[in-house]
Amino acid sequence: MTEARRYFRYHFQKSVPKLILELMMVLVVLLLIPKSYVGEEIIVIELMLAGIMIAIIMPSLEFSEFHNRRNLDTWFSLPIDRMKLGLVHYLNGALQIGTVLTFMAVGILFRLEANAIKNYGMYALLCFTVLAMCLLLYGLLCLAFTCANTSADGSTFVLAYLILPLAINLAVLSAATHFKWMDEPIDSFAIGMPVCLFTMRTGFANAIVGDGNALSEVFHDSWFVSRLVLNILICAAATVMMLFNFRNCHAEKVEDISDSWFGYRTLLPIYALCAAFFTYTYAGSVLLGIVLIICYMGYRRSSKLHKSDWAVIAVYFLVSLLVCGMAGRLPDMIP
Amino acid sequence: MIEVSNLSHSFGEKNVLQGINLKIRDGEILGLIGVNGAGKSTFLRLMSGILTPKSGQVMIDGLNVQLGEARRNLFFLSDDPFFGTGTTADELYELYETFYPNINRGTFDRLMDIAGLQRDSALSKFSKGMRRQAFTALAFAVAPKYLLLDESFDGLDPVARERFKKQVRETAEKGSTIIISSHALSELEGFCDNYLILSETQLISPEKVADRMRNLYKFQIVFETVPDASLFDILEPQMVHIVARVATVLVSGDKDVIVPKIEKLHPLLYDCLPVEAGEGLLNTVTELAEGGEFA
Repeated sequence: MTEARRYFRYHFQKSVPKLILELMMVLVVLLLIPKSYVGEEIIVIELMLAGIMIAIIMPSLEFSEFHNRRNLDTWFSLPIDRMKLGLVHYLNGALQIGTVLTFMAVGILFRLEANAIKNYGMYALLCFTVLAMCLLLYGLLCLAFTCANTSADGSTFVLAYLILPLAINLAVLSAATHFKWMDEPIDSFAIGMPVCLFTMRTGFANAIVGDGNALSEVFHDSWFVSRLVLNILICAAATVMMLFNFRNCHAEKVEDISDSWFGYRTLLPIYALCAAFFTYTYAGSVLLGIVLIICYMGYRRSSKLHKSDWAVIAVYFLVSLLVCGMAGRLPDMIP
Repeated sequence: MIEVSNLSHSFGEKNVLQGINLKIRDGEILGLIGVNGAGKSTFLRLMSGILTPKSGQVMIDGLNVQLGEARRNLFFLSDDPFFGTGTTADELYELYETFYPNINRGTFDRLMDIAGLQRDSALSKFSKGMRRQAFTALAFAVAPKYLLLDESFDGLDPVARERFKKQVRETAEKGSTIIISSHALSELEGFCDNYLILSETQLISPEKVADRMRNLYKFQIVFETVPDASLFDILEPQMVHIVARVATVLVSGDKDVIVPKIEKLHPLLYDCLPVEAGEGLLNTVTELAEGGEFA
C-alpha cells in the first residue's frame, strides 16, 4: 500500500489547480445566490444544484488519463496494482467532491442572510447526506466514464447517465398519463432528477425553511424510499464494478470504439425507447428505429453492424411496437 | 529471472504471439529482433504487465507480472513514452520518485545535463529525440533490475545513440537485465549479448541464435583471376563479397566440412578471419525464421 499512499499524495498535489478551478466556479455560483431565501427559493435551490453538479462532474473525469494508449504504457507498467491505481484516482475525486461541497455548504451560510437558515442541525445533516449521495452518484459516473475507450465517449456517457433518469421519468410520466395509471399527473417529485439530487433539493429547501416535518414526510413515502434505496444500491454496485472494470481494462482497446454494454450499446436503445413513449404511433416508432440504426452506424463508424447490435435494435422495435399496440392506436403507416 | 510460459496474445482474431516459452537469465543485454508488426512491442508490453495475455504468464523473480509488486524492479520505456501537456522533466521525475524511492537524482541530473536538456521545460517543447533522452535519463536513474526498452534508438542522433549504448552497458554491468527491441539490426549488431527473434507469432530462443552464430565462419579467399559469385554456391554462403580477386564469404556449418570445399575452388590462398560480434546476424535471423526453427 506504500506506493499507493505515496502516489495518492503526489496525485492530490497535482490536482490542486483543478480543485482551485472548481472552487472558483462554485464561488461564482455562490455569488449568484440571492441573499434572501424568501421569494427566491427556486433560484437558490437551482444554483445549489448547479454547484453540486460542478462538484460531481469534474472529478468524474479523474480517469481521463487512462484514455490514452501512450499514458497506459506508463501507468500500467508502474509498480502499483491496477485496483489500487483506480482506487487512488477514485479517492482523489471523492476528496475533491468533499472539499468543494464543504466550501459550498460553508459559503451558503455566509451568503444567505443571517436568519435565512432556521435549523442549523438539519442543515448540517443534509450537507452530510448530500455529500454521501454525491459520492454514490460519482461512483456511477466513474463507471460510465471508465466503460468508454476515449475521453470524448466517457464524457458523453457521463452526461447520458446524468440525464437518463430524467428521460426515464419523463417517459414513465408520459405513459402514466397516456394509459391513465393515475388520475393526476405525477407530482413534482417525479420531475426526473436522479432521486438523490431530488433529495438534495427537498433537503436544502426544508433545512433552509426549517421545516423538518416536510422532510420526514418525504421519507414516509414508500415509493420515494424504495426508489432511493434502489438508487443507492445501483450507485454502490457501480462503484465496486468501476474498480473491477478498471482492473480488467484491456490497454489495447483504449482509443478504439467504445464497445462496453454500459455505453452506446445500451444507452442508444434506452433513449430511443424513452422517445418512443412520446409517440405511441407505429410511424413514430419506426422512424425512431431508423434513427437508432443510423446512430448505431455512427457509433460503429461503419454501415456493417454486429449481430448483437441488430439483436438490440430488434428488441427496441419489439418493445416500441408493443407499446404502440398497447396504446390502442391504429397504425399510421397502414392505410 | 524472467520466465515466460506458454504466452499467447491476439488482437481480435489476429494472433500476434502463440505459445511463447522463454527463460531470461539475469545480467544479459538481450536484443529483440523482428520486422515491423512482428509483435516486439506487444511482447514487451506483455512482459511489463501492460497487456493481459490471452493465455500463459510472465513471472518476474517468481511473481506474476500482473501484480504491482512484481514490477518493483522493472522499468518499461515505450517507443513513444507518455508526457502530459505542460509536464516538465522535473515533474516526471517526481512521478517516478513516488514509485521508485531509490531513484538516483544525481544520475538523472547528470544525464539531463549531458544531453543539454532543461529540467524545468515542458517536454512538449522537446523534439522526439530529446524527449526520449529525458525518459532514458529517468530509466537509468531508476537503475531497475529489469529494463525493457522498445525501439529505443528511434529519434536519437548518432552521438546520443552511442551515449545511450554506453549507459546500457554500464547498467548491465551492474547486474541489470536489459531487453531492447529494434527493427534495425544494425543498431543491435555487436551490442547485445544475445538475441531473441520474433517471427510469425513465434520466438526463436537466444540459445538457438547463439548456437547458429557460433558456427559462423568468415573466410577471405584469393584467386588468380576475378571469381564469379556462383563459384561459391557449393559453400551455401550467407554472404559473398568480391573485391577484385579477393572474396570474403560468410559460411555457417562445420569448419572441417567447409575447408575441403574451399580447397576444391583452387584458391591461391585463403584464411579464416574472426567473425565480428553481430556480423551475419541478418542472415542468421532470416535463415532461422525461414527454417521455422522456433523455441
